[in-house]
Amino acid sequence: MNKSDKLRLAEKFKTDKRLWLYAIAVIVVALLIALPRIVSPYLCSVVFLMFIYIAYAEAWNIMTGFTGYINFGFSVFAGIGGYASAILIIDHGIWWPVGWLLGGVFASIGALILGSFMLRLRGSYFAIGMLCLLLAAPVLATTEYLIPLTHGGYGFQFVQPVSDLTMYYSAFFISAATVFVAYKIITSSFGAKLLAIREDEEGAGSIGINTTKEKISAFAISGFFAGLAASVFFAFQNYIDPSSAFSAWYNSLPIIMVLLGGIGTLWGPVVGAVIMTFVEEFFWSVLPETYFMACGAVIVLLVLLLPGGIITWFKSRGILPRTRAI
Amino acid sequence: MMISVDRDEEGRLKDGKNVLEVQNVTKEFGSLVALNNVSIWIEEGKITGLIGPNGAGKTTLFNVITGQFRADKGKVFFRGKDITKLKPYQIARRGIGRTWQVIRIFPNMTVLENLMTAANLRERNAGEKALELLELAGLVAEKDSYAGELSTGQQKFLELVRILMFDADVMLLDEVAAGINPTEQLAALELIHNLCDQKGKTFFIVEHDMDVIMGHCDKVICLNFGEKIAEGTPKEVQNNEKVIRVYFGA
Repeated sequence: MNKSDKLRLAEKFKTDKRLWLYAIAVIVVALLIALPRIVSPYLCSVVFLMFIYIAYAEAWNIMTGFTGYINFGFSVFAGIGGYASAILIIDHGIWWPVGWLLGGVFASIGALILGSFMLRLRGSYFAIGMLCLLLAAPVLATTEYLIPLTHGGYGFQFVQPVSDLTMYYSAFFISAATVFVAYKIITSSFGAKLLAIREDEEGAGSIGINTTKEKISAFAISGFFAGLAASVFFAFQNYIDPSSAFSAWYNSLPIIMVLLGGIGTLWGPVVGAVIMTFVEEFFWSVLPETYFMACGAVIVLLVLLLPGGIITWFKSRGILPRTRAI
Repeated sequence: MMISVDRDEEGRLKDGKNVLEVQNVTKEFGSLVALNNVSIWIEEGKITGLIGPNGAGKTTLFNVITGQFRADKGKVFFRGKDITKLKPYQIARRGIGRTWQVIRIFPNMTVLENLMTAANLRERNAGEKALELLELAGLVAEKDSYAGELSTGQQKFLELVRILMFDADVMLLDEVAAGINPTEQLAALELIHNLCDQKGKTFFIVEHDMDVIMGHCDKVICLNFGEKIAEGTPKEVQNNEKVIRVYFGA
């Protein structure tokens, strides 16, 4: 690089604020990649969890934030993905990356099938319907028909297929991929159609939007990333059984994170997931008995103080630009 | 009315040449007959007005044509094809666009995004097309504003050009001139005439402002209590006894 090139670069840095953002992004990414070599395995496992939560929250946001259809059955797809990958890897000896990927694919197919009739319900009926599915899922997993597949209440105790380090990087990649796909969606005309459904579904139909098809597509994409992230998550947990796969807590977490960070925004779920990871971890270590309650109190406070979520708050005050890319 | 070779005795173009035809449509809501055996036809490239007192069934007729309601009896044809049972989005894609009595833009989306919602996913130059349409509507400067922040007049323009985004040929406008100032009204009418004359778009408009109807429509249809009571040139309808009775009670 010669002198004039450097000068031009410096000039560009001054004029283009976005370059600063890119620089910060590069530093953050480099730091996250180097993290396992710097900090303790414990902290690494917290950051691993953060990646999973980011993917969960963004996946939930792709469906609910963009189309406005409140999905109270997120864990159904996480559970399908977790089970599918466990069955494929443990019982069928499928190579782990393929098993994880297929976990996402199966969750996506599940979303496609369930979505094609659940999404004919609107508003609160859809929300209640999904909640019922979530309650039905663990029962279904322990029926005699599915026990050969799911091993019933025992579930799977798996010997981890890969090292913690590989899982850390996989989770990192999956969370980045989820955010990237969400970015691609929200800045495209497909994303505009999803937002149109959220704003006014009948109006959207009158301008040629096949609302059923677009909703199901969003649901399937959301399900894919839920299942993919869950595959890695349950591999890290080292076991999966009906109550952990379809757990109410992991069903609520993404919802809380998205509401905290800013529903329907691209970076809201990421911000919410990062904050909630550390809030949850902090309370869990300080108040092991009452940490659900403590988390609940924090959520109530934040929702009261920041009703639209953090990103929305910043946008409405003009601190952040009001673009879909944020 | 002049009867030429390719028209039937009612003045209707023969052989399905009318771009839009409603045949004997009846729509009931419980005991209320909103539309009673209504037949109308719309010619391509013309502006047709629809008038009638409140509750006459004007908006119901629009809803039946665009598939929001399904007719209990009768059929709707678009370019000779039966569209009675199609879903609203399918009818829109065939080329029938509509606006609503109460504006239905997407308030929490930007003006540009509002247009992009109506873009065909396969369209390559959707962005450029959207900007051209915004130019037409005089909204280029507002493209990144939230649609909900626009004035009523601007919102009506936005709703109008959004239909053009998916290349609708027939545009059903529900009270386009209501609630906007006279300058905007003139601009809207000019836009409608331009689209009609230069691009061959067909308009079917519900309107309460008689100056708009009488001054700008090629044909006027009058509904009352779900029945068609008059049809013809603005002048004919203006002098029709039934219409006078409905409007003035004389």
